[in-house]
Amino acid sequence: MTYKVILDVDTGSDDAIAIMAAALSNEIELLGITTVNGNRNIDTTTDNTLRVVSLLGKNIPVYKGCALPLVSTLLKGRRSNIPYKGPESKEEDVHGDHIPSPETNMKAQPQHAVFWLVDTLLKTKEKLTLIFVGPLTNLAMALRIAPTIINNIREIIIMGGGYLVNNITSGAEFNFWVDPEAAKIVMDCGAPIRLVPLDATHAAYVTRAEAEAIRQFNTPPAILCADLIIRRINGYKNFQPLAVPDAVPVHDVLAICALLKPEVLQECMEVNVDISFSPGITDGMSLCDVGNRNRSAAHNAVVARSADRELFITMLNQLFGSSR
Amino acid sequence: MVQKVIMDVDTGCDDAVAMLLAGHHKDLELVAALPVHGNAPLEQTIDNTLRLLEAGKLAHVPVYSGAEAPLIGPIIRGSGDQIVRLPFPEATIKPQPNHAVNFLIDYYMSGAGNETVYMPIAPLTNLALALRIEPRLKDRIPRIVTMGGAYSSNFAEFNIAADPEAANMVYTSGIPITMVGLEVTDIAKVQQMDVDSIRKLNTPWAIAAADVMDIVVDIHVKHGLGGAIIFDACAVAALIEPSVMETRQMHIEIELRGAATRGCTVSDFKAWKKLTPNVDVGIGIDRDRFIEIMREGLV
Repeated sequence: MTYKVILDVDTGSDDAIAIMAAALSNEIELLGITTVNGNRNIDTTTDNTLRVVSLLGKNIPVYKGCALPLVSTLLKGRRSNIPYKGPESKEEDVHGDHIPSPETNMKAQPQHAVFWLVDTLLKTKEKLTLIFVGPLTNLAMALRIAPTIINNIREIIIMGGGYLVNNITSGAEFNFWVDPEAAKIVMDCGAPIRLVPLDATHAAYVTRAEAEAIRQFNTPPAILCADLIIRRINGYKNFQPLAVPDAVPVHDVLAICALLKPEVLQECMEVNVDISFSPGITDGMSLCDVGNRNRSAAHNAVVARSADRELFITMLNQLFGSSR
Repeated sequence: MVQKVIMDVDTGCDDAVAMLLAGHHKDLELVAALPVHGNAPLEQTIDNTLRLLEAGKLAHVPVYSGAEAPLIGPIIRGSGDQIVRLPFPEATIKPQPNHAVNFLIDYYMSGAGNETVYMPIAPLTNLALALRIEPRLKDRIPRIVTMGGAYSSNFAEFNIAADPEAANMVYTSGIPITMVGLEVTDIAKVQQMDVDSIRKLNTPWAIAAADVMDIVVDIHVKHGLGGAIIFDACAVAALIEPSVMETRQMHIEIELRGAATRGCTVSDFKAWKKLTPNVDVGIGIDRDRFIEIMREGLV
């Protein structure tokens, strides 16, 4: 089976690995990649995305998306480092400004990502799969402009949110925190959603030895993949060390693997996921209503609380070991 | 010189009168109408806009459908004269295939709109979406004249309350804004004799305007307002003849939080805080001249 996929990224080290994995899979037809403000500002995430696509030597169109979250930057001081202005400290920088891959002459398409999403979803003859691994601004905007696009979405796989694991604050995961209102709009849009939160991506950590094993495939994507994972391991050591030494989650690529082999996600539960955009410490928090406390709220997502790490590593090796 | 104008509408009785005035006054050219959600659901504001334009002999004005929900909500709706189905036949004209947000970006970025005033008399969702997609729009829209807000009220006016985040984006965009708020519209009440004098002009558009205003007079007088408030038409009059409205430069901020004040146009109208003014705010209007402008426009 081949899935027709639109991938939305804020590249980003783990986004770069997700792009490569999607492009290397022979079960995915990548219709286009849309970029968004997130890990870095929109110009940088777009440039990084183009570098990765260029390295792959594939003709995948890239559409530049929104430079700002929907509304989260309107209140003064609410998102002071968005768009990204620099790391709190160099030692904690897991992404770097530019992907360690050569500059490219490749350009983004002239059409804006939001309009391309709307046009593509309105015109498609078969339902499409959306994989969103950055803040959800572009999709929320598209839904506001053309709500009927949900009729042509087969499934949305989202890397975002946290059940018990969080990163940017004690209550929130970065992608949802950057644009909580967009996350709320997308979670409630009515299309089938599988959520890959930090709980799953942290269970699917990659070790230094496993990254070095991928390097041995000795292709440009495999080498870049290994370089990016090693950089992440070094950044995480100072930023949020895992229980396992010398290992790191590579969040976004797990969303790609979840499409190819759903069983890579473990401990899945169908629940209502709500997003807090109140001021204060819960801003951007995803709340999984495991106790059905909000009885009027429909189950809007399948949320993975863990992952099959062994299968995930096998899949990474298969994808980056392929010569496609 | 004929002033071009694009109107963003949630038609609406007063929107209807405003479009008839803008479409027929010799000093204005109505370039396009962009119905958006607002007082009534989008489906109805589109339908009313099409009926009005056709009945008012403005069927040549292109209509681009806009957003059906505010950026983040919640959705609030109007009542009374704001949500009536206009008393005109079902229209044969249809909206353009393009979305209002596409149209705004294409039109202004092409340079065609360098002298075209953008007049939202509805929630500001369409322009907010356009600004998020194309931030350079702020340098291409020369001026906004808008009906919305209230500089001296502690409660929010509908158009702002219906999408405060959108209003915040527009008011902080840097585009020059003339705000025609409730202080102005409240003292521009239209009486039955005014409506009758407009009807006597006997043009299809004057009759259409009178038909709509008859409804408003009836509803507003029953509500004890002592006359009909044709909110949106005041903004058109202020564009046609700026001297009809007295304005003052003020600092305006759009309240996004607040248990009772979400959507307020918080104003430093007493200039106690000495904040830098960012909006030209209407503070008074010559009512009789406003009626006269309508009569001149609808002949």
